[in-house]
Amino acid sequence: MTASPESIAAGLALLATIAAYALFSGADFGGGIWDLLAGSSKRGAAPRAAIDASLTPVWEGNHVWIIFGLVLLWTAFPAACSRLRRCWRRSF
Amino acid sequence: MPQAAQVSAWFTPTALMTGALFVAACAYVSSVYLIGDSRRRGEPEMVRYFSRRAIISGVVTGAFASGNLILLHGSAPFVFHRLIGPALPLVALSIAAGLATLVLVALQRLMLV
Repeated sequence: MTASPESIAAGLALLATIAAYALFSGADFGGGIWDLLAGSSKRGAAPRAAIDASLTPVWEGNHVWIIFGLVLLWTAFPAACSRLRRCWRRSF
Repeated sequence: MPQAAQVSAWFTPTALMTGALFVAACAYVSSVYLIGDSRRRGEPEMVRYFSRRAIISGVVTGAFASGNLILLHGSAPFVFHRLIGPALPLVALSIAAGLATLVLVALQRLMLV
């Protein structure tokens, strides 16, 4: 089986999207992890202020990547998407 | 497949290790960005603080990634063989970039003191 140039291009776009999601939204989640682990409110005040200052302007905006990735998945690979959704539904 | 087997698929060693890997990787990426932001804001104390956490979470992420690869060999050989087959250049790039970032973080931490 050989993939068409279109599906290779869509696959590369999907790879880039997943990488962007991991790098940008991953950093959102990571900020929450370091906030959680910063310790008592006195000891953790400075790192929490730094995390707030860095994340407040971008918080949640980075999740645009997973939305774009899902749209790419069901537009370019509908069969794989339906298969994944069926597995997902059956797991619960 | 029975419902119980479906749910237990979320609690296999590979599934748990993949989850732990994702949490560690998020912490690592975030601490590296926070080093850069703290430096731009002129807060050397916070640069030191997040450098220390970046090195720790980077080492933990590397350990979880290696552990995951070993687990995949047993539990999902089709994924393992693609990772060391067609995807090997990307795996190598990931290892090289992870190590280079760790070295750079360690170096700038040394120069700060």
